[in-house]
Amino acid sequence: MISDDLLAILACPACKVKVELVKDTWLVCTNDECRRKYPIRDGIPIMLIEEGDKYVDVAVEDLGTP
Amino acid sequence: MDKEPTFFDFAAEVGLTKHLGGLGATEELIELCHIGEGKYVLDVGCGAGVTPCFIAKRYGCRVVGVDISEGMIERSKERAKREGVADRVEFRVADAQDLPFEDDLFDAVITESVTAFPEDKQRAVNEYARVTKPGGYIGLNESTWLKVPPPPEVVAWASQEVGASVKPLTSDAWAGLLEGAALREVIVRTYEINTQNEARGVLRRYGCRGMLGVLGRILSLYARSPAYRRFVKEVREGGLTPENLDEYFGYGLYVGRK
Repeated sequence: MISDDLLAILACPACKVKVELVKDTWLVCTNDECRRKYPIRDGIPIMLIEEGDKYVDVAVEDLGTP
Repeated sequence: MDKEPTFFDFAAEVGLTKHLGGLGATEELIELCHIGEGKYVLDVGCGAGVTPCFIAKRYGCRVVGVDISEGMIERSKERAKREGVADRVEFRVADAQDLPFEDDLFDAVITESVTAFPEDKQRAVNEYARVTKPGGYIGLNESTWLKVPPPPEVVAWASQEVGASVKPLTSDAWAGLLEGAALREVIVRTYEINTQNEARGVLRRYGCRGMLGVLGRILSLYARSPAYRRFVKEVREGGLTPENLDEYFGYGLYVGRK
């Protein structure tokens, strides 16, 4: 589980805008221009731009289990 | 086919990471960065999590560790749990050049044998500065050319010892990166390395029980991975430490204030 404290300070590594927790397993950039999504695998958020790039065009509701 | 594993893949697998100067250098960096009770600290390139757990345990700080390798972060999380500091240490996979944090967050940002690796070192140091609070400290312990140009046998030894993609700088160049990120009160301390002390440092950092665990994982990896056996063979063929090593190669502590 990701702590609320850390979630509050996490930002998108590409655009530095806040991310929000979705479906408990994704951190989604809240910047509409960016739309990168970062998976949380085995409880570890993967905050790498190339990882976020993979899911730019995936709609939030279509995100599966990372 | 999978890519040939790197030095760091092996390091993550066996749970052993190190930096020049060992625990003594870590303690000195902590002091120079004014890390103490109540401080909020980021360790960039935390490897197997030894330094974040040490800081959390000894100083009661809250610490965030990031590393570019998922394997390392798994090891870090295991360590935090084992050492009873999981409530105040958190880990993320992230690249030093693109940190996933808001501006002005941490009292101190430290790196140990990390900033010598990224392609764009200035960009990495700018990121450290961005996430540090005004008045906070940025501290680097990085491999350093004490004299240039280094002879080829010293370059070969350094890449084998510290990691194949290491690109050390001179102390002036390291200090220049801190100044390039508009940091002030820059402190530079350089040290020669002593290979005997390095071995002692690893033992002190991990303790006897920790080293036994590491050795067990090394043996198991050696038994099951042909790539690791090739790596060990290359290292053995690499030969002895060059005699003139300490003349050219060492490490430096570089600290600046935002």
